[in-house]
Amino acid sequence: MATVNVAVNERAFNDVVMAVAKYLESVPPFSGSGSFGPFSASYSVGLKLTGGSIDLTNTGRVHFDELHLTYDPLILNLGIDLPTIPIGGECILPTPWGCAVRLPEIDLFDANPDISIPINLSNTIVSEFSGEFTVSDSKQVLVAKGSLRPHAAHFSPDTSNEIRDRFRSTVGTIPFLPTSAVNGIADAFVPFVKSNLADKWQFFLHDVWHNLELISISDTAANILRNLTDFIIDKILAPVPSIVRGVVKAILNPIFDAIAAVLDIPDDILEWLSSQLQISFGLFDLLAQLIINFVGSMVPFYQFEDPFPMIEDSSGLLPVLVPVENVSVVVNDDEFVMSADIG
Amino acid sequence: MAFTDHCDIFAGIHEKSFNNVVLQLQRQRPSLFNYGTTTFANHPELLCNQRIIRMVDPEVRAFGNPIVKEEPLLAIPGYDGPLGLEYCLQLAELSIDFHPSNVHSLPVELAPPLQSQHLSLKGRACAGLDCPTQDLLIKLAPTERPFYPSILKGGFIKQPPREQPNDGPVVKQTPTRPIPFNREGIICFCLDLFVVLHVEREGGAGDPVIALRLDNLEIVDIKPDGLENAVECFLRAMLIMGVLPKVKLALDSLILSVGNVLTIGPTPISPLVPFNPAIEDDQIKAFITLTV
Amino acid sequence: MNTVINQHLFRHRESNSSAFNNLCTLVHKLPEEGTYAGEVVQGKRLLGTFRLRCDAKNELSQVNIDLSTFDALFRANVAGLTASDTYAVGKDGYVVFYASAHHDGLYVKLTKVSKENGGSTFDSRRLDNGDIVTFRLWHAGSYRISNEHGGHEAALSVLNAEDGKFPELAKRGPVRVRLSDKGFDPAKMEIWPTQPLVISVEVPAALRLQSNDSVLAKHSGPVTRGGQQLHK
Repeated sequence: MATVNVAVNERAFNDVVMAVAKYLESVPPFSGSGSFGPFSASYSVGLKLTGGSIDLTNTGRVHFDELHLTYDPLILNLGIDLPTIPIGGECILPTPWGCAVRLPEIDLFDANPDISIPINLSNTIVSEFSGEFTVSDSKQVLVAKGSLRPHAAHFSPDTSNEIRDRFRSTVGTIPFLPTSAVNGIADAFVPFVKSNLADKWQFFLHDVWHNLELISISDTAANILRNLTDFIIDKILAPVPSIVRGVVKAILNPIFDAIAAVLDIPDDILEWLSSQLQISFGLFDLLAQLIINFVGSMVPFYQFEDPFPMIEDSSGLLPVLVPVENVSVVVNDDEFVMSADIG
Repeated sequence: MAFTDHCDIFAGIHEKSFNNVVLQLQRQRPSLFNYGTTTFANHPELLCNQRIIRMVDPEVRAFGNPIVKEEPLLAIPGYDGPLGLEYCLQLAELSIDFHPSNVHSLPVELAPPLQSQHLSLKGRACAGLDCPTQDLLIKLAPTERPFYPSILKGGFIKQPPREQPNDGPVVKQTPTRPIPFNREGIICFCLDLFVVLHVEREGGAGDPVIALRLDNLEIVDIKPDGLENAVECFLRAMLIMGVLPKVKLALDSLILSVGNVLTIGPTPISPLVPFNPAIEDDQIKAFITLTV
Repeated sequence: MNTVINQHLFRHRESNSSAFNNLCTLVHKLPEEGTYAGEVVQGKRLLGTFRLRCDAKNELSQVNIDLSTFDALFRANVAGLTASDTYAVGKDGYVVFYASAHHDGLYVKLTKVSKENGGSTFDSRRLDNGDIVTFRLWHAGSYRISNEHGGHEAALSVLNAEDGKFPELAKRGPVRVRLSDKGFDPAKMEIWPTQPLVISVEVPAALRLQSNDSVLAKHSGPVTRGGQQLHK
């Protein structure tokens, strides 16, 4: 029989894990790229957790129920590689044998024409995350601890890069995530785990299944997307003097028609956007992996030292450290229970 | 029935774990259990109970923590000089028994069985006095002016006036120097000790701690009764004023804490939670309410 | 984002064949085979020189020479832009002089390289019979074309769109005009923006195109509209 039991009921467990999940908001926005029809596209996205609940089940699983994620920031940059549009080439000296002289062609666009259209959809789109996780425990023993005895390890801050390197390695396995974002995301979580060199019992959530889908889009964002073609056209024509803008627009009509055809957004704009974000960027897979790796194998939602500082140091006297063994966790419909033998 | 039926967070420690905690306490805070005057403080190997000295954690010495808490020399009544006697006192072989009592049997003086919500502590109190040799005492004794009559004219024997006695204290100064230590003269004795305690909650809502309160104390088989009562009184004072205030468990060290986002507080006392912390089922249990 | 639209195209509103810009293209037929030395001048500044070889063995009927590329400073600011200093065209071929960038006040001289003195020359400041001047305008409005050597004048209207929507401009062919000793024929024309106005020169000419600074949606009188002569 275990000699120590610490139990957390469902509501408290919910509060604890949600508080930890709030740290997702401190992850710096990360960037990536993909393609979208004739467009190249890049994005910058950050996450905010705005609702949902966590339930404990009598199957031993932790159930994440409809966690609402708002994307802030969410900046999409559409890049268009414009074709060259020549002005000229008309025949000015036709002959019975063909055209003797044609006017030279001058490109309407500069060399290597491309434009980048930023689309700001921050705080306009909400996703819903659901999933089930099991709980496991493991003991972290830092290499940096070396042969330090327990009290020395308790007092020694961890100045090594062990945890950082482990996090970078884990985050680096997420597909679609550009290398530049890996370190930034991994390093953001290190302060929540790193403390001293003492051994730690850590508790993690491991993914059983998950689902992440778009559930709502604000009217503002819907408006932006529906008028995207006009937005792009205005962007291309912006440098043209107003007095000749109509002329240039008439010349570029074939291109604009092609853009409009690609951006022919159906009525179900949510489904369209969801499909585009996933197909073009694998965005939802990426975000789901980030959440899973965060709440999974990387950041423990609970940890304590071993030996455990039962009585803290005071007046220069050593803290009383008590060894902890045989740690186990059980999840049931009522509570999360951690059991151990101490002393 | 779930642990957290009436609270958000529950922590329960069985008496087996608690005994292990007490053991670790003895090993890592030896100065709570070993007291002595200067020679004993500087030479723990002279203490009566060497068993508990041998189990002191090497880290205590490595971090320069004391093994023995130094106490003042024992003053000698009637003696005005700077010298004092050396002594030591140790609390050893401690074990805890939470209600219901099944680890040790209480003596009749403590009205067994152990009451609900109480715990008992069994231990050995060992004391030692460094007794100087008689020759040394004679050598160290102060020299007073001798009393002798003087013969005056007139034939009557008249005593010269003595120094008038004053109403000051019997011991005129706190002894500052020990009588030279006599290793062969250490007299040791041990007494079995039973203590009954209960727990109380102290500290603020955000910083609860468990403190121990002494209910009663009994030393086994010491005569006459007056001596037993006096010694019990002394030990009671020592525990209440010296030892127990230093043994307080920080509750939140047992509980999940997530940065500064969540705060914990003890579950209020109610018919569903009549005692908090509670001593029952051979455990000490704490019931916590979580506030976001 | 790269600068996308070639803004040089809209810079100028008026032009002059004797000091031209990107609104004007000059076409000259080389009179005989041989090697010609060319000079490109902007105002009073010599931009560069070139060699032009007219050879029967060459099958090309025209060679295009972009005078903007002779500006070293301009070349340095445009990635990948190079200038050539030798050109070639076939016998009876045409050399087409134009400017693709912002330059104004350009003229070009050709001198045949020959052992004898007095080889044929061409100076774009004074065009002659057989030369062609093409104007392509972007700004709607009314213009006046005048020949500084003969005093001839013509009226040109560049049409504006109704409701801001222009017809498909890419499919508009050139509007053709003759300049003889009798003057411009027709003397009044209408074109759409970017539609070429091709003037075949038969007399000494230096054609100046000036804006009257007003916009016409309609006009009356002898007119050539969009290439179709309606009435004289």
